[in-house]
Amino acid sequence: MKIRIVDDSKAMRSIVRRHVSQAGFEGADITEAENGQEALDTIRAGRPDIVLSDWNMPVMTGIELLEALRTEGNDVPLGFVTSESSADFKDRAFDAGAAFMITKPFTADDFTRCLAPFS
Amino acid sequence: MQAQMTAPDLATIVESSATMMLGLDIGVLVDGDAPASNFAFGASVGFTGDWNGAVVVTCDDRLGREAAAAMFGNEPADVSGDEIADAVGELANMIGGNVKPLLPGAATLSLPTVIQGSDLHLGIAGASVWVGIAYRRGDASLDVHIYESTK
Repeated sequence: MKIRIVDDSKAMRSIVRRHVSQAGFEGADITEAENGQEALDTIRAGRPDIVLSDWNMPVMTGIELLEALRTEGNDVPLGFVTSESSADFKDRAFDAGAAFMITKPFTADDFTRCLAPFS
Repeated sequence: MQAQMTAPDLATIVESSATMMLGLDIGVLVDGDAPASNFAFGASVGFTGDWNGAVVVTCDDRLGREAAAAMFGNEPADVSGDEIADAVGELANMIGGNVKPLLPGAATLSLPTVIQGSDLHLGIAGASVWVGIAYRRGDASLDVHIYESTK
């Protein structure tokens, strides 16, 4: 399973990576990007099975990444891992085609539940 | 505009982020109605919109190291200053994101801003402390304050 983690915080990328492993995906091929633009460029070059993206990032936000992917006709599954938990953000995310939203703080069980359909 | 946030609400958010997710021992909750002082790391995320203010997280070097070690999976002695700053900023981001739905109106959350040094004192111009809590474990300290804009 190829997973692309997108977050401007190296600390958060590290903890997401560890939680994904603890969720039962120890063998996943995990790569990272620091913002939406970097993720968009790398997804164009090689499509992962799923993208785990933060929402608030410099250069290009997570929702802008999702909208750019869908505009290009790329239907790669993208789930948000974000501290944004309000209803309007969830509505916007799912309207744009998000697969799921994991709200920080999270547990490994959140990743087990959300990633299982894509494994 | 009168908001509904209380110190126990903030403590629940802080503890779910620091204790439950990261496994940090942040110590005991003490009286935290005054701004923190003499800290080594400070991170803030701002709110702009119907309600304007900021969440400010401050801690000493020891708790900063422990937070970074928990996030990076390293030993506290092995983390760098940049990694501590990243970790404390992300802690502020998590707390801010969970505070946001409890605000009385729509607000946009900023990216974290982090400062580091020694014996620092922090104040935010044009804002006053609205809710504040503090944790102590021996000499280790973690303070979280929500500032409300007074302009």
